[in-house]
Order: sequence, then C-alpha cells, then structure tokens
Amino acid sequence: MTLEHAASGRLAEFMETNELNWDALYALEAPRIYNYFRFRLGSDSDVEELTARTFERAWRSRSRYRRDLAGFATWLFKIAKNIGTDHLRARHEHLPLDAALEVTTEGTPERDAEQRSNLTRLALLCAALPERERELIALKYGAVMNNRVIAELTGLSESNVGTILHRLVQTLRDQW
Amino acid sequence: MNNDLNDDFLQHLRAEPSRKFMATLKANLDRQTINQAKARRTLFRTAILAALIGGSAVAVAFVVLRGSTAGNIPVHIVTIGPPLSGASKMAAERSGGGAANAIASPAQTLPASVAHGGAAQPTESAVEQSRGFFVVAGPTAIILNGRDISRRWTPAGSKIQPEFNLTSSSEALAMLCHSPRGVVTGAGFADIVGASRRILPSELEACKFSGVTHVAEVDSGYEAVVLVRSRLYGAPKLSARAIFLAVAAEVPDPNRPQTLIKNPYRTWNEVDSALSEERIEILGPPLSSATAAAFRQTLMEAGCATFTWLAALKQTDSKRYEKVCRTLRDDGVYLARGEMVQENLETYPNALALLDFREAVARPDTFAVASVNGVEPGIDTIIAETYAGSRAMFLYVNTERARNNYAMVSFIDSYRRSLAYPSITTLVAPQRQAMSAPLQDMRF
Repeated sequence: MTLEHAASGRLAEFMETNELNWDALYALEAPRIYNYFRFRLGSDSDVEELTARTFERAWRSRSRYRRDLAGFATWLFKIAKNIGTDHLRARHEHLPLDAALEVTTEGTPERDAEQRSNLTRLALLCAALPERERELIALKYGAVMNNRVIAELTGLSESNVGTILHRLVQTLRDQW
Repeated sequence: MNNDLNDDFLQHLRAEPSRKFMATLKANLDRQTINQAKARRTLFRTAILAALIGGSAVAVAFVVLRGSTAGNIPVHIVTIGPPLSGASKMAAERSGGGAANAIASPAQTLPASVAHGGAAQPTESAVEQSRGFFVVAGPTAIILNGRDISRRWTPAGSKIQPEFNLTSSSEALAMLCHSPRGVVTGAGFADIVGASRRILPSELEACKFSGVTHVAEVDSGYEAVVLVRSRLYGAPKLSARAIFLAVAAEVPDPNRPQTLIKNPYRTWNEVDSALSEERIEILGPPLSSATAAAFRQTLMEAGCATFTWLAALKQTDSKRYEKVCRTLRDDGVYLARGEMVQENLETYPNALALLDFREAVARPDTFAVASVNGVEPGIDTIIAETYAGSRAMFLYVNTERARNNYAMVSFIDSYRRSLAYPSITTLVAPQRQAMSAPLQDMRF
C-alpha cells in the first residue's frame, strides 16, 4: 500500500464516523501539511510556523466546517496553500537555477543531511518551474495526495494532473 | 541526470515533524478550542440577558400604550386632495434631469393622510371582498420584499391578501395598464407594480388608453450588489466588461467579431490582461434570488453593453439581448453557494463572492469590496448612479383602486416604511424623509 493510499484510507475511516475525530485528524494531517510546506519552501525553516498557522486557522473555523462543503483534506490544504502563498510573496526569495549546481549531493554521511541537501536541490530546480508545477510537486510528494484530490485543489482534470506530474519528474530527472 | 529520481525517491525526501512540535501545537489547539467555547458561552449569556431586558421593555411599553393611546394609532389612507409641491422631488432628482421627459409630473395629489377612524377611511368593498386579493407584480427584489412585508404587516382581520406575480419591469408596467377602468377581474393585470426603471411616456399613454388614469409613483430605494473578496487578500479592481466576460455563458469571439462562442475563459488575466492569473470563481446566492437577478441586470449587463453590437440588440432583438447579457455560465465558475461565504473566501484567495451591498458593508472587517470601472460602491455612488452594480427601484400604484381598498393602502404604506429598516428590506433607501411624502398621481 502506498503512502497516499494509506493516508486516504485512514481519512475515509475517520470521516465515516458521525462525529469528526479532530485529534485523529490532526495526527494524520499534521505531518502531511508539514511536508507540504517543506516541499514548497525547500527547507525546514519556517515550516513549523506555517504548519501551526494552518491548523490554528482551521481550528478557529472548525465549528463551522461541514463535510458536504469540501473534503476535509481539501479544505485544510486550501488554507495551507493560502498561507504558503502569502509567505512566499512576503519572502520574495528566489535563487537562480545555476545555484542548484552549487548544492552538493555528495560527502554527507548522515541521512538527514543528505535528505536536506536533496530537498534543497529539488527546491532550487523547482524554483525555475511555474507556480502551478511547484504546487503540484508539493501536493504529490510532500502531502502524498492522490491525483483526484490534487485535481480538486487545483482545478485541473485528474488525467491532466497525472500527465503534468509525469512530465515534471522527467524534467527534474534530466536536470538533477 | 539521476535515473533514481522517481516517485519513491521524491517521497523519501519527506520527514516527520518532531514530537515536541506536534505536542506543542496540539496543546495550543486544545487551548484555542477551550477559549472559543468560553467565548461562545459568554456570547450566549449576553444574548439571553439582552433578550430578557428587551422583552421586559416591550412588555412595559405595551402596558403603557394600552392604557393611554388606544385607538390613536395612525392609519394611513389615500384620498384625493389638492396638489402638494415637491412630493416627487426624490424621483425627479434621480432622473438627473435626463429622464425628465420619461416621466409625468404630479398633477393630482393622493396624500397618505392620517385618519383617526374618520368617515374617509376606505373599507373593503363588496367587490374587493369577493376578489379577495390585490395583485403586486414586478422583478425579484420587489416581490421578495413585498412578500416579507405582507407576512409582517397584513392588517388584522383583513380578508384581502396580495397576490404576487414575478415578472420583468416592462411586463409589470404593462400589467398595470392592462385592466380597463372598473374591471377588476381577469388575468394579466396588476394593482401595484415594481420596476427597475421609470415608467415611459408611451406606457402612461397605454394606461390612459385602457382607462387607468390614476397612477402614483413611489420611490423604492436602490438595489445594489457587489463582488467581494476576503479582507485577507485585498479589494479587487474590476471592470464591468471583465465581469461580463468572466461569467457570461456566451461571449464575443475575439477572432470573429459579432460572433458568440461558449465562454472559454478560465482565469482573470484572460478577460483582462491587467488582472492576475487566478482562476475565475464566484460564489453567490441561488440564481432565483434577488441578488443574483440584480447582478445579471446591473453588473453583467453593463459589461455586455460595452460591446456596441450587443448593446444594439436591446433595440433590435430584446429577447436575444437578455439571453446573451443576462445568462450566467453553468460550468461551475459561478457556484450557487450562499453559506459559509467568509470561510470559503478565506480558503480560496482567488474566489469572489456576490453579495447584497448592505450585507457586504455591514462586515468591513471580513470583506474587501471590489471597485467596478474605478468606482467603489457606496451610498454616494449608488445615489449618483455611477456605480454599475446598482439601480433605482420604483413602485407604481393604481391609486383609483387603492382608494377603495384599505389593505392595498396599508400594504403600500408598510412597504414605504419598511425602507427605513435595513434589517427588513434588501433595498438601499438613503432618503428616508422622501419615503413618507404623500403619494401623488402622475400627470398624463
């Protein structure tokens, strides 16, 4: 079972109950939101802050949340997306594509360090991509969402999401 | 090139948030939940207290009034009287002089005088009783407000109830003049009609020809709609043309002039290059609502009319004009979703919501209201009719019929008084004093 299947299966299980189990939803969704921001920002800095802000905003409105309005994950990620967009706009951080070549991918024995290095490298390569493509990468691999939910969030068709992501991974592979 | 870069590789870049972070955030959220519950309890207690105090005040006032002024409650009636100057000043002001030829001047005054059980008070005649109703016709805003007012202020004991007929302004005005004098039965007529424009001289002529020679014009305030975004993302600046191109079912083909195509536009920058590349998404009330109807007939139509050949259709093919200029696309760009507007707008930065003007200005901390063609909606711009999303509303009354129908007079009186209470009416009525001016027959 893939990560995304596991996540959506557990979410469906929670949603089937009459009363939403907010504690369980938090435990399930917090890591996804956290990683969504890691992929969007390409680093660990500010990620905790943005994750906290997302949940605090969602919790403020949760008494008014209705499951027929949108899927819970869709609702939560819309909030996260807004917060991420605002943050990036404010930060205006943009490194040129050439900088990606300067990020080392060797000589880091610790896995964490290697992972961080790879994430940074990915972020730098993604910086050259259009906003929509960057968002798709973060949703797919950071938040481990399936293409159907990504389609709901982005307004693209499900097949279009699949096609774009396939092309993106090829592009990244060529540039890595 | 890295041949290992695949889905697995990318997903392994994920990391678990630290336990400390998860626990701290959860504790904060729990604390926030407790504080919200406390705030709700406080609000509930305050509301109960206010209700108790208010109820007590009403009870005391009721006892005092019953003991001192029974029988002195003013009843507004219509009687033929001498001309009064300036009674339709507001109506004349609205036309700005430009429409002076389109309306008739007051010739005969029907003062809504106050009677205290005098002989002049109209009664439900045998004819009215047998008919059992009077007919109010007009566009959505008039009908919805009329129904509400009827529910609230139907005179006690009256057997005469208004019957409402939802129709366009032109058809409503035609219905006013349909009934030959003295004939009170048959379909297709109305005693009171609402319109989003003033009656034309030709329509008054038609009234005269049919024997309807006593018609009074009643100011009914202004209907205004706005597009808003969450305050978080700032007020958008739109043009009526961009709004039309964004929401119309069919739009002019940019490559083939005077040809219509199914609306292909998905993002705002496609309809106006000055706007950002954000998906067009508008939340609004159901299409049958007064607000949606007003939107189609003000903002949409204003944008439609910026295409000269479409504007010309109004004269040459009015049905096609209405279909093109007032039909919203049904591909999901306009979402009939009137609930949780604030939450939706906060969640979707690109989304706009269609609201009644009063609803939007009542919540300035929540909504950022869009300017249209560089004009911000406000009382001043609505009265000046420079804001494209507003229009004046008028009520026309067959006063000859009203003379013998106190329920009808009562309805008109209630309608006018309701304009002073924003919580009741959806119309903007800035000139309260004009609302209580006596009714005047128009000059034919």
